[in-house]
Amino acid sequence: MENNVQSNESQVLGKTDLRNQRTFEPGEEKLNTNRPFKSKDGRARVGVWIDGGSTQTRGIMMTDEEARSGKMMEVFKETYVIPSTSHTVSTRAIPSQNSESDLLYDNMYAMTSSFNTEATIDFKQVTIRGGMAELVSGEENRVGSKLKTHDPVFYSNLVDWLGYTSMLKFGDEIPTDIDIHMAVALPPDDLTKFNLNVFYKNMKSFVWKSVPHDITIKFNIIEIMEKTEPEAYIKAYYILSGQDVPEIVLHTDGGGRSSGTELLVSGVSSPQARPTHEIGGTHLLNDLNDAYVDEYGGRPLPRKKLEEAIRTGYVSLGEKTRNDVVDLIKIAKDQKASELLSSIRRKLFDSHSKYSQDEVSVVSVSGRLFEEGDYGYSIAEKFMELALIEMPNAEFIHIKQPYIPQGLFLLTFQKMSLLSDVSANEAAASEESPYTPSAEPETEVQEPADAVLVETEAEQMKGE
Amino acid sequence: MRIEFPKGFLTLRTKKAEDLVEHHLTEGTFWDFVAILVEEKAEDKVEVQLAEMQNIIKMIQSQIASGNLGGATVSNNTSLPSPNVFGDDASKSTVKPRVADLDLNLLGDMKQMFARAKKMEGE
Repeated sequence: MENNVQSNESQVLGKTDLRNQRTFEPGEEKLNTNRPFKSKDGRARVGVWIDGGSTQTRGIMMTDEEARSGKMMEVFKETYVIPSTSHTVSTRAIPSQNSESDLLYDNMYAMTSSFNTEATIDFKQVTIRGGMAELVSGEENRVGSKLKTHDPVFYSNLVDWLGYTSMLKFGDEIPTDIDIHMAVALPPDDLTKFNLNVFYKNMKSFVWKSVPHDITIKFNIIEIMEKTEPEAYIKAYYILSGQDVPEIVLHTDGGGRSSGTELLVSGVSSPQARPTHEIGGTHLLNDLNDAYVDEYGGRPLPRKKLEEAIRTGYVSLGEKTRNDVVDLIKIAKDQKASELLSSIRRKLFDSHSKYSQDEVSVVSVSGRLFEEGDYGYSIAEKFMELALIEMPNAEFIHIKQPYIPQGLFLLTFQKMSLLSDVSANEAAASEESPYTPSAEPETEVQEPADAVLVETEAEQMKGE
Repeated sequence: MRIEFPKGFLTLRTKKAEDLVEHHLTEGTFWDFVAILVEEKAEDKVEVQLAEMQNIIKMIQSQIASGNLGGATVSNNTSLPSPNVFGDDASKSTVKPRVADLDLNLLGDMKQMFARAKKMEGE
């Protein structure tokens, strides 16, 4: 599981060493490696806990051996992150390797094949992301306005996360077969019976190949668990911090596509009170774009310019000109705060008469939607100011670090069959005195029905 | 001098801020208004965010500059104040939400965390 690179690797590969010359989005630094990756015939069994956001896909991967051998806490803290934006390309459109760089980040070029006959969504794709995506123009794949369980881009992100994380995790001994025990965080409105059935049907088994590294992995999804994003987040916060959970906690996690709210009553979820709000980072960018065009004229700004503006407070026009748009951003953010509060009131309190707003003890927010930017202003501030009128007794907390994978792990590990021969508590106890399994796991891994087809496709992909 | 705001001038502002402006801008100069705000803010007599106050100043400046501030007059030798008169950083507001950061290196024992998770799952 060594992530550091050897000093002579780039010389061996004969390419420019671009490590430390790039700026990475927080969390994506593990992709800044040019270590060699190699396949090894064999099967591994891993648990994964994934938060598939619209900007980044992040998660934890733990092998059954790690869970047994006292490394649980160490692995629990280690998050793997890939960018969630990609391009779909033809295999003829780009060279199989980036000629300028041998970093993994610059060689994220993967093919996915699924032979699952029950699948309702086609995510059999050739995708590039990271530095390689800079080599092509055109529309980016991005988790859109659809439900995540119905969005091919969301599946593509999960699959690529599994692939690249397996490469980073196993390094020069990447198993050819990996059985996956999976927990995923979804927006609240994706957790209906119908949507979950769609998700289960589509996430079954597939073959994934990293083209530049010629690494092919067959993934078999053994089991899937799910939680809402705000639930995983706020429960992780209270479990990790060790604080007592106040009587009524109202937590909102703001993402790119939407935001979700979770109501904890005496520390326990209130499943009837889990609204999704169609308010996210994308809507904020759209509002800023409209305001910018209204103020400065011209054509709408491209998304990258808008994202830069939200981060820095400026719209750069060429090398010498830049417009200060902090005022426009603040107005747009204030508007989103107002819409969010109104949606919470309407979807949660007006239709959930058991609790009233003035009973709320803590109002917390998390997620990229609430990030401050270099100009130091967050939606959280206006949200708090407005909410104080309706929830005068509440304490307001802005939680900034991403905890969804950790929350998923804590809430699902004990129910997973990753460790079929030992309870989660026994494994946790081995953190102090390492547990040595006396026998192989009793439960056999069931071969997927389409294993033969998968095998054939794997061979085909190896030949490409 | 009496300063009156056009209808809808403060539609994006909170009621609290609107009342504040209504209260103080009935007479006096622009500088009087700013001075009163600074003084009352310093004495904690007003409960309004710095960012909010800065925005009010900016809006008033804009209205004066465009000549749309009904009835308002500003003498030639009166320079407009900087919006930063209340502080140069909106983030210094005293009514921000508490920021919570956890250090994953200071976590308790995994078994305890599993027990807490079970409790939160209602088990």
